[in-house]
Amino acid sequence: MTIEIISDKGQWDGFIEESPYGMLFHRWDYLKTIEKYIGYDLLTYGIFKGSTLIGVLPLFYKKKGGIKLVYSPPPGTLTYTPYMGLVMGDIYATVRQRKKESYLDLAWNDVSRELKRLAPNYVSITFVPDMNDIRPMIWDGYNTQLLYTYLIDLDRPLDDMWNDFESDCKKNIRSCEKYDLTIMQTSDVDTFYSNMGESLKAHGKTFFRRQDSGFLKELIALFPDNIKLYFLYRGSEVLGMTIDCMYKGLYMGWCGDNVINRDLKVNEYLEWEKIKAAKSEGYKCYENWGGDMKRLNVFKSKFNPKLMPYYHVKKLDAVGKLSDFGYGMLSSISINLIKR
Amino acid sequence: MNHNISIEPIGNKSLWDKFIDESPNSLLFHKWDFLKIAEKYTGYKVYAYGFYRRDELISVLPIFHKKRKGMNFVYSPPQTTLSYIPYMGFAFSPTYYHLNQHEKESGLCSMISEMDQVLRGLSANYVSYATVPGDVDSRPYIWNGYEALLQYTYVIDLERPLEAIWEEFDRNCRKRIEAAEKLRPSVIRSDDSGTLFRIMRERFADQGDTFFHRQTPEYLKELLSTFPDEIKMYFIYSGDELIGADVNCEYKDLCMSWMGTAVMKENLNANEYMLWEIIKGAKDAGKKRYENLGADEKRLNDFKAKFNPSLIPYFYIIKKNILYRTTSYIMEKMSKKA
Repeated sequence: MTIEIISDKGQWDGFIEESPYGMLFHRWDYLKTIEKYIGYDLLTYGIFKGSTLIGVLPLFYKKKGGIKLVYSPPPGTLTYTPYMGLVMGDIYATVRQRKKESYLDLAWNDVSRELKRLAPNYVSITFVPDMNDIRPMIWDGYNTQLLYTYLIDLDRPLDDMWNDFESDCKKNIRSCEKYDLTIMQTSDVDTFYSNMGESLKAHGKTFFRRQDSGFLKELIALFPDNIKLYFLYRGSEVLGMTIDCMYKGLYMGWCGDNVINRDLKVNEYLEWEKIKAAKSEGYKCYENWGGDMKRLNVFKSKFNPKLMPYYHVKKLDAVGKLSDFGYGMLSSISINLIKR
Repeated sequence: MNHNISIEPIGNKSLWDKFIDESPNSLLFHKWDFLKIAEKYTGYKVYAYGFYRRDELISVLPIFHKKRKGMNFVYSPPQTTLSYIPYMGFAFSPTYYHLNQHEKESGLCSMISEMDQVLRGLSANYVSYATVPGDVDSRPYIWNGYEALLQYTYVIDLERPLEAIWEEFDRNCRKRIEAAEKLRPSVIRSDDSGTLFRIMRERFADQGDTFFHRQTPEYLKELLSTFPDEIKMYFIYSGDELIGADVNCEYKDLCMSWMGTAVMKENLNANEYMLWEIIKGAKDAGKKRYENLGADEKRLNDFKAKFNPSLIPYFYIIKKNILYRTTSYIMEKMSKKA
């Protein structure tokens, strides 16, 4: 196998479209937008078996304060991107287990060699949920972290889904249905941004404070069919807002779900409306992204979703560890200062 | 005490075993007599706990405790080099699996918190659980200060037709089985644990203190006689010559290649042949899954993956207190200096 930089957008996007592991976050224009807004260099690696492209890996590289960093995806506070990492092609998905393991082993050997050439102090890679074999990375000395997300199977009848919701969740939805609520698609990213920034003020330097709203505006403009911002209204009053991401069979509640008016329990209502819409538009699966924050899970698990693990791997040398420790300290100091 | 979940020791074997038999995730390793035999041969003391939700027993957890060099160790299961038990941890009732996601999460969180109170009573310095494959939620442990280490195992779905299972084997694997079949090897059930231990000790002579070096054959002998319908040892012969050995564990819908799969004659393809015979036997017996235990040793995976199994994750859940961490750190430094 060989590894080389791919510079052909058509080849890259064609691969992502066909791969069962390819997500919107891997698309060429999405990656280029990240590169533009975060100031890291994008390295678009392709892994070839002979002349056949069998895997791709987008990496973001930066030398910052003498420390070499490699991310895929870059930190959430800069891009809000949940998954990225190595994407294997549809061949990988269909071959038998032994071949699968051999393909992945060989592909990772190439990636590992390339990473050694880059000699980063800090490497962080988060895989998509279905890329569930991370043994080659463990054998390569990477530390693993298990993360979770919540999925709802949309192939079931709507009534079944509704019956699985907790009773207080159903009650809250019904109580909202009495009001004349409407959900409208909008392009008002600035209002969304300022609301989210305000709502998450106590959580330190979040994405909405670190990143420019232009990033999201540009993504929405580039992917009008895949990234959509919605506001929930009662009359002309905005009660809630959400950005959703749709790609292939997946509808993801991605960014926000901010509730502005706490008197009405609109969060459950908004979620249910999105599930219904996703099902009626033919999506197979609804993802309420992220199952690792205990304070949010009480809400998310009310819809009786399935828990889905995904994997994050990290490798740090002594310099990387020191910088990671320092960054962690600074973040917690800044959160404490904000709270005070 | 937690408002929803209460914990109580269980001393009633039939209550325990009935629960284990009905639990969707329990394994033979959870059964009362298995625990007692493990206790007898490992030198750890076993404690059996039940977790109640509104008076209903919804989970049980066996733990093994030992004080060693001033430190208190708690395992579920005991170390594999002493017990060869791969998984244990919590076994849940069917009710637990029917709870909605929210109640499941808060329930497990409460069980772990309740258990931690007991562990504090034991002054545990080191706690380790190996969860049953299929139980994917490690978050409640992490939120209670544990770390989760990812592990894998291989499982073959036996609900498919035998021909479909066969067709999915690697070509070279099928060829080796067909070649072995020509030699007409015989697979004979045996209880001669001494022979298995002798073979395994020789085979793993260069691998240090393995289970077969640390444990006695009597442990396996007692398990074989206590669970004759569940634990079965087979020897494979070519003529009069012993060419392979395997210990299977069969319980509910699972057949597991558990201990061994030792092959004395590599060139006779006995390993592939024996596995295929086990798979056929398990399917005949109505088992739904066949597990070829363990997928984390690269050197073995090339063989195991030939049978096109699915890769299933499970977790080692570990908590080390500050005293254990400090002592381990000092010991490590000292051994490096020496």
